[in-house]
Amino acid sequence: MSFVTAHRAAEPSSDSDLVRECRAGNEQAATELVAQHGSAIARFLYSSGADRSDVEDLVQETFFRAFRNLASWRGGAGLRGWLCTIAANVLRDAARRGGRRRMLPLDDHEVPAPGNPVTELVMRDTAEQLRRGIAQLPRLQREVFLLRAQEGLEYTAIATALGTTAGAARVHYHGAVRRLKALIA
Amino acid sequence: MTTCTQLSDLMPATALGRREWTPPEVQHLADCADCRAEWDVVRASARLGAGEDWKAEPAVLARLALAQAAHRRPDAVRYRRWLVGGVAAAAAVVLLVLFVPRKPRVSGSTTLIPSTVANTLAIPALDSLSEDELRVVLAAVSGSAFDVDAELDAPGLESLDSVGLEQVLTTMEGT
Repeated sequence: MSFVTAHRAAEPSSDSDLVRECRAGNEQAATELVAQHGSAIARFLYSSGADRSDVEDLVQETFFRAFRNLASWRGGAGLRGWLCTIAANVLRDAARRGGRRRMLPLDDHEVPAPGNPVTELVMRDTAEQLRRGIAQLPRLQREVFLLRAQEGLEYTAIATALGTTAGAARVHYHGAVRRLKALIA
Repeated sequence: MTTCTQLSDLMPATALGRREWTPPEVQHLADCADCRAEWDVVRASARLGAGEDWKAEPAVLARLALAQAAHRRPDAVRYRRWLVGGVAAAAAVVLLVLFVPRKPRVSGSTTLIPSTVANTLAIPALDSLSEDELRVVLAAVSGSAFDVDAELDAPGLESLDSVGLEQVLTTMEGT
């Protein structure tokens, strides 16, 4: 069962409401929060270079840290951006503990989609090459790039989440794009 | 007329399916190899991991995470980590004072350990420290003479005004 399909609320609650309820110890609100953001956090971690088999543990650790520090979420940055920054810290700590040996194994595999096998092979190869490239970006470049490319956040929201300025976020984004273009050209 | 900057700003939303390219934008993409290359990167990045089925039951995960959060006492944990960091910092300073010579002594009875040896001395306690704690150690050792992230992330960008940032972008893009 996936994050997306596992839980359906009758009415979607706002992040602020959910956080307030979570802080009051409401387990249902916590579940809703995980359902709304878990899949995106998993993708963020995977795209940042986490090993496929480690992603779920890292997601759990991310939510554990988030629930422990909900009081520090000011609401200025969207909750998704805030969770992604926590996930980035979790991944960094895991990489430091594991000496990065669990990151991006050579035998990594993804389930191919049906269609032209040659095209799929090329696409899969490009995607994996891209994932490696993203994982090797400097941290701020990587986080800015993923928050923009995968979450579609505006530079102001990214800046708030990462504690930088919108102009600097734009520069980091274009720095990342430039490196990744060179990588898959 | 669509510019490369305008197109670049629209790419994430388009890749995520929140909007579609207009005919002039399609034309620009067809004519501009640089924008096409950027679009390939952004589109592929937006799809990364999208086909994966991240198996996890939100209710179980939420219960586990809440239980973990309630079980640990954050203040005590934080205090203990900083205490360990402080002790490690002090140990690092003591080791440096003991083993790194300020000036090579030509004469005298004291035998100093060569600086190359001192530099390779392992300080195992540092391995368990977080980045924040390591910064404390670095600050103690170097007097905050440098920022470990400076080389990688160029945090000085935050202090630039829009003109300065534009110059950086222009330099970066080579235009």
